[in-house]
Amino acid sequence: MTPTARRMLSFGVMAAFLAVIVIALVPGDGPQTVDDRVREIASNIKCPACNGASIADAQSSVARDLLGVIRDQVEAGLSDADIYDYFVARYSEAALLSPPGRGWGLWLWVLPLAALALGVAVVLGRRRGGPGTAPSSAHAVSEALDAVTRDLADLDDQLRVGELDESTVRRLRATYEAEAAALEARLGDADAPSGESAGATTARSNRRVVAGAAVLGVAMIAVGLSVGLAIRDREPGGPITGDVVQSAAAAGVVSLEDVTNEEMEAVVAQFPDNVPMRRALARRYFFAGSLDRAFDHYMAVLDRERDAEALANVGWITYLGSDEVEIALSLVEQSLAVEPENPMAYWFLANIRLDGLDDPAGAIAPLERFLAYPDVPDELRREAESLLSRAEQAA
Amino acid sequence: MSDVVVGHRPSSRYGVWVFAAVALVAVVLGIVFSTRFGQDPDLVASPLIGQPAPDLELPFLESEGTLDLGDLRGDITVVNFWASWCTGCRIEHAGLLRAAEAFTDFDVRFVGILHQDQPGRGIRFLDELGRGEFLYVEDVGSRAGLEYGVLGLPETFFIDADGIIVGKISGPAPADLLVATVQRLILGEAIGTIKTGEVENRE
Repeated sequence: MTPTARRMLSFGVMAAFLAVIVIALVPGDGPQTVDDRVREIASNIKCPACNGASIADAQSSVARDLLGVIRDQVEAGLSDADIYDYFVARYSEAALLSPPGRGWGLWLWVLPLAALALGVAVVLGRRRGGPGTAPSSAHAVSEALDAVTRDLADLDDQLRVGELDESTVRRLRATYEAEAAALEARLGDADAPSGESAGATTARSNRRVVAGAAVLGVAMIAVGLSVGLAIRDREPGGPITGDVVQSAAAAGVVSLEDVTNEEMEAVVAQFPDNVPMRRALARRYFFAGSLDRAFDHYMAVLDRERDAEALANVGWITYLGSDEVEIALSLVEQSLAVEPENPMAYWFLANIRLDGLDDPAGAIAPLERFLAYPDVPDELRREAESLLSRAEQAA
Repeated sequence: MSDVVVGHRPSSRYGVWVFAAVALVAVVLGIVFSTRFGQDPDLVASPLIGQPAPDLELPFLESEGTLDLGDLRGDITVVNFWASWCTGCRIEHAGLLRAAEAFTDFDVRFVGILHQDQPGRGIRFLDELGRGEFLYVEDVGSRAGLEYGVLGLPETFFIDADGIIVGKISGPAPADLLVATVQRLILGEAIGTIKTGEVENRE
């Protein structure tokens, strides 16, 4: 087979292959009957509790129920997109068995096609520069030369046995001799002591390797960056076990005005290890002036976690109710180490330093910090301002 | 024949490079995908969090009439999907009952939706393990499960007083987690999707 014929054949095979893929990807005429549409849609949606099977394929009762829902929606005249959106809104995009053509899903569609295109390009590139047209390496040239020499020698035998007539032999001999001369010339180049051709080949290969490595490096950096960004977008933080995906909603708050302290005490007694309600109750007692009760509940909170509010308020109660000024100071400082943005802790710290430790200079910074918070109640703000001027005079 | 070496070395080195590059890309992709993009593959974010709870009217399990979930707006509502065949539901049941009892004074409603099960079996389950302060309804045609995007049992949803779905626990809700979550809701703290264990699917 001639090289041209071989090339055309391989192009034909490749074109047929691509055509099959394109035909497979292009959707045909839309399904006509309701049954067809229901089946089509159901086969693209994952049954939520069926080990990844589609609603159409799964045998469970959930799948049967969901198939009924899809049928209702098709009969109600909803479009395919509406029905897919309906499921995505409830189960997320994970419900779709075909990845959506956007975001990360787009990569799943594009990458195989890009890989195919790259493969075709590489094959075509090799073919163009490959041995089919002209042997490139010295080894191949010498092999080709051997073959031509053999063919030349065979011509005499073929003429002798009458396989070829004389004019054909003459024509072939001329062709073979021309080919042999050309190949010898090439071999001479390759054998040249300066190694110019071989050197050029090596240099070209090296350039190719460098270019390939550069493309690869850029691609990997791109993949790495996009993966990094994708991971960073998912912000953790939030409750208890992690794995928090989203929590943008501000909870609608229930008014606790109608809830008595006794009712909260009952919950706290029943679930002693749960901090939020206990902390809320302790805060109630604290601001109502029931410092003993507040102290007990805050201590119970501190037995379970290092809570900034509990540390600060226990520190303040300790300062007010005992001579343990150093312990009170330490607790408030620990609270600020846990949560530096608690205005009341600065207020406690300033008071303890100014009056408890007779350290007016040390009280100035926390008072200034306290006054910098915009939502300090007016009464406390006035008190803090007079405390600040007292501290500044004494310092 | 030095020219053979000269002629061959670059192309074989090129092949090694290509092989190494492909191997490297495969390894990098393997690592990237093995991290599962930093996410638990079993955890599917509920797109419903932050959305209004669906208004559903469901028949009571053990009495006449229906419960309109929309009527519960204004109260914090805990919606638990369960079934008698689900062992996780059995595990969490006592904790659910304790929480429901403790928070009745706080206007917290607990609704149990019997999903993918026969009413008789559900009732026998309650006979055995108790009913507490729960409102039990039946999920006819899995409609509620679909509206809540239920992926398996048990699943527990938290709805705030404005009727917004603010949190979800997949898998058995440990009593402490359940109670802490309800407490945080009562106190107006944000919560989110919490996974405690495997959810169960009925074949």
